[in-house]
Amino acid sequence: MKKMRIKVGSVTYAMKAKDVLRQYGLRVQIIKTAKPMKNEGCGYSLVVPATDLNVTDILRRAGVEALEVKWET
Amino acid sequence: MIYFDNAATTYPKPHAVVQALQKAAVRYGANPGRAGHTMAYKTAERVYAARTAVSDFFSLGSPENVVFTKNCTEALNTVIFGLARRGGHFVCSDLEHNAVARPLEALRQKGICTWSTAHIAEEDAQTLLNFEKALRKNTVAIVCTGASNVFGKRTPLKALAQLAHKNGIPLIADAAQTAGILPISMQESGIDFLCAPGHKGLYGVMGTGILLCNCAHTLTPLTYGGTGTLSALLEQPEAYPERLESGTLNVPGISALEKGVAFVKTTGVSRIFAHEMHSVQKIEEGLRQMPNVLLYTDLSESSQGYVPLLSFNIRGLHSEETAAKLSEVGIAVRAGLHCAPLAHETYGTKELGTVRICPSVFTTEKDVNSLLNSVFKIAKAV
Repeated sequence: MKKMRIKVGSVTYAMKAKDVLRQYGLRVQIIKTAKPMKNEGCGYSLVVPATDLNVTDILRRAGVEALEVKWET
Repeated sequence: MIYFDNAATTYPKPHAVVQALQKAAVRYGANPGRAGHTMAYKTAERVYAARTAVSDFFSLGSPENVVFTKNCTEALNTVIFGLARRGGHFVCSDLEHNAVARPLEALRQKGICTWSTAHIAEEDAQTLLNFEKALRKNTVAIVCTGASNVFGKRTPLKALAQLAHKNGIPLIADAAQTAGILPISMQESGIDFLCAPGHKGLYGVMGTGILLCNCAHTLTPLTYGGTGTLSALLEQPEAYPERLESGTLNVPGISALEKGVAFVKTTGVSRIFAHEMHSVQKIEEGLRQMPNVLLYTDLSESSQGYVPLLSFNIRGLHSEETAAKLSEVGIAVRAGLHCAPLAHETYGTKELGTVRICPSVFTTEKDVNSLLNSVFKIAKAV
């Protein structure tokens, strides 16, 4: 199953994103960002199951910026 | 003990608040927003739930703009120092607590900013004029309490927010005596920064406070350090609330605060106000009939202009002497200057201070009668 990994600005934004996406029926997992960029350090990401919804757009409208998006199987 | 010192901190706390403290210590013992293990996530979830509860309670609409502090004073310092710039000027009311006056005075003594006061008049229209006159070209913010912590006098915050915005500056509100007592909507009031203690009208525990940010100004942090994000950078991250929350959070206190807010919401702010105002009016009515008792406000005339607390003195006694005599019979009140010399100067009570009475939602008719009987005995013996 395809998944999206979305990097967000903080654990608070990760929690907010989880809350917002739950309203769209999406079950989101929060993880520490794996292999963060050298010049950034610690951070949080969301693991979102594949969906037809435009997740980044939903998050942007809720005030959560997707700093990086990666698709994986 | 009969407790009438609720303006300093409410006591007792609701059962759910006390339970939440213990539960947090046992179940949410990890550092939120730092590690990636299960308990750290669960703890972060609890903190976020508290942010959401506070955001909803004050109609803020953005949990990420709820900053947890250790008390209202720290919240006020964060905003005042966060907005201060060299050559700037602040206007505050003449009823402010030292939580506002001292940071402003520190800025003045360091040669960074100046400040001036505006008189809170009986009529709101006059108060607005006083603030308008005090504004200068270099004023960076208006700071105003929602109500005096000594005399209970309320201030027109919504109108002050409009005045501030007309002049392109933010309004900082000190809600130490109004959060949980009066309905406050961040969206309707236009307040830009609201500072409140968690341990007074919100019935949380000591060591908690909140700063609600409702505008685009990015504050310079008061404290710098670990936030759990962007750790490779030496600069403080921009994003709220972490920008202003360096270091480990008081998770038990924050969890308890969530329950305190739920308690206030369930009980109803208007019911709490009505109950406490009824108690204070009964106390005032009784004190008015006693010999040698001096009162400074008249709640029977205009209870809507006040929050439920009052100050009094007994002729011939220093306020501290009266408070000590009440303490001897098991009644807890606060005497002296209440960390608000500006307010005492305004009301002409700086020399003797006053005895402050502040009930809570738990105050009973019996408590009120015991207080009145005790004050009567003291006043009669003078």
